[in-house]
Amino acid sequence: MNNQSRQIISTPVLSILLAVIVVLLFIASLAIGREPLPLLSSLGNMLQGDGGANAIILTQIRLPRALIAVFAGASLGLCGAAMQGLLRNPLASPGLIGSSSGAALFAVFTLYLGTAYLSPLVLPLAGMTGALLATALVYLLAGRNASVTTLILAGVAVNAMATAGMSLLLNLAPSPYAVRELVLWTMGDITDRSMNDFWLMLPTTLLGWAILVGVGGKLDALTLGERTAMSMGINPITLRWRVFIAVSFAVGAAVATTGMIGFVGLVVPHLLRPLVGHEPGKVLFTSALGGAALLLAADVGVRILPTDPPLKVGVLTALVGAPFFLYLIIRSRRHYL
Amino acid sequence: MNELSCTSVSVSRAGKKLVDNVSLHIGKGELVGLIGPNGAGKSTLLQMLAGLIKCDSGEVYLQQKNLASLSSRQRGRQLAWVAQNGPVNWPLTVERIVSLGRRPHLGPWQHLTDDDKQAIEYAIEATDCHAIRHQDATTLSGGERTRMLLARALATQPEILLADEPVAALDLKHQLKTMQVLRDFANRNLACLVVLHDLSLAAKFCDRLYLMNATTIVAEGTPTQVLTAANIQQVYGVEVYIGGDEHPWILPVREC
Repeated sequence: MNNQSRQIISTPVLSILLAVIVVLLFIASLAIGREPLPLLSSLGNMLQGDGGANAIILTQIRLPRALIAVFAGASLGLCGAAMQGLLRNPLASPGLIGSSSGAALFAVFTLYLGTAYLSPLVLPLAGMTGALLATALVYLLAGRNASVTTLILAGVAVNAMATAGMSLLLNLAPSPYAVRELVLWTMGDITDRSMNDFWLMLPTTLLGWAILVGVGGKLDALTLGERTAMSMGINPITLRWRVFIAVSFAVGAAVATTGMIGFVGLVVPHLLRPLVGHEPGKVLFTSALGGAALLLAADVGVRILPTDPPLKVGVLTALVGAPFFLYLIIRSRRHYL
Repeated sequence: MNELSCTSVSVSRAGKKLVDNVSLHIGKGELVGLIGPNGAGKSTLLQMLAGLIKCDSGEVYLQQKNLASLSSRQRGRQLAWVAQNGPVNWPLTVERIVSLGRRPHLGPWQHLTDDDKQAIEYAIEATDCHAIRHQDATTLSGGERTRMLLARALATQPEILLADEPVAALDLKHQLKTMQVLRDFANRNLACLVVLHDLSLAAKFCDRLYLMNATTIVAEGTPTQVLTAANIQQVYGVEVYIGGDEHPWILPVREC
C-alpha cells in the first residue's frame, strides 16, 4: 500500500528543469532542419547585418517557427491545466468549450472564400474571432449560472456545429486542390510561418495568459468543491468565465496560427500533475513550460522523421496523444470500478 | 453580542419552501446545536448563514453587519463552513488540504508565513490528523476525511464556524474529540453552530439548541429545555427515555 504521496522533485526545481529543456529544444529547433544550420556563424552573420542565406533561414524561417511553437505550446499546456483544474477532471482539454473548433471553422472559411490569400492577417484574425464567438455561443446556450455539465454539453454542441460547418465547406470546396488545402490546414502545422504571424498571435496570447494570472489559488480551493470554495470567498461562476475567456483568447490565437494541434493540452498537465503534488495551481505554470517543450519537440520530430512529405506536427501529437488518452480512460475506469 | 444572527429568513427552491421564517442568533463563546429530522432544512439554513445561498426574505447579520454587504473575501476570513460529506477532487496530501484553509488570508502570490503554519499545525493537532498528514486525501476513510475537512476550516481561524454533521461518520472516541474541538473553539470567545443528529452529544456539549422540523424552528433553549420527551416525540415521532442529571442523554425506545 502506497498512500503516502510525496513529491519526488520540488516545484521550483521542476520549473527550472522544464525551462532548461525549453531553451535547449528552442536552440535545436533553430539548428535542425532540411539544411543544418551552423548556429553561431549564422548568428554572427545576422548581427553583422550580413544578409547571407543562413541568416535569412535563421531569422525568417526557423525563428518564427520556434517562437510560435513555444507560445502556442505554452498556451495549450496552460489552458489544458486551467480547464482540468476548473472542471476537476483530468480528461478535460482546452477544446472542450468550442474555442478551438470555432477558430478552425472561421480560419477554414477564409481559405474557402479565398480571402485568406488577400493578406496574411486575414486567416489568424478570423480564427481568433471564431474562438471568441464559439465561447460567446456557449455562454448564450448555457446561460451564466449553468452547471458544469450543462456547460460541457453546450461545448459539445458548439463543437458539433463547427465540425458540421467544416464538413459543409469541404463538401462545397470547388476543387480537390482546395479540399487538400482545407484539410491540411486543420491538421496543425507550424511550417512556413513568418514573424508577422508570430507578432499577430502574441497580444491575444499574452492577454489570455494575463487573465489566468492569480487563478492558481482559486483552482486549489476548488479541489474541495464549488460550495466549499465559495465559502472560502471564491465566486465559482466568475472563476469559470474567467478561465473560459482566457482559454478562448490564448487557444484561439494558437489555433488561428497553427491549426488544430490536439492532445498537448490534455497530456502535458496530466504528466506533470503527480510531480507537483497534484495541486491545480502548481500544474498551471509547469504545464505552460511542458506544453512549450512538447510542441517544440514534436516540431523538431517532424523534421527529423524521414517521411516524404514531412508529417504535420498536429498529426504527430495526435499519433502520440490518442493512445495516451486511451490509456487515461482505461486507468480512470479501473479507478472508478 | 451576537456574532451571527438571522431574522425571519425564508428560502425556497423550485417552488418548495426549504426554510420558512427562521430567526436565530449565536453569541460569542457559544456552541449552539441545530438538531432535527432529515429534510427539516438544517443544511439549507446553515448554507444560507454561510452566505452560499441567498434567502428570499429576511436578513443575515455577521457581527451586526449585513452578510450580503460583506465582500466574499472578508466573509471567507471571518466565517468557515464545513460541508456534510464534502468532496476532495484531487489526491493532494492531507496537509495541503488543511493548508487551503489559509487561502482567504493570502494574496495570490503570498506564501505561507510562520503564523499561517502555526494555524495549520494547531488544526492538524486538534483534529488528530497528525498520523495521516502525508496521506493522499482521496484514500481516507469517511471519518478521517471529515476530520481533515474540519481541520481545513479551523486552519482559517474564523470567528464563526458552521459545521454540517461533523461527527456523523466518526467513531466514539473521535466523536468526543471533535465535539471537544468545537467546544474549545467556542471557549476561545468564538462562535460555533453545529448540525447534529446525536441528541445526547448535543446535550453534553452545546450551550443552546435549536430544534428544527419541516422548515421551521419549533423549539429553542438550553438542552434540558429543548430535549423533552414531548418535543422529541412530536418532531421525530419516536418515544424516548431521557436519563442523566447534569447533561440529559436520550435513548430511543420505539416508533410511535
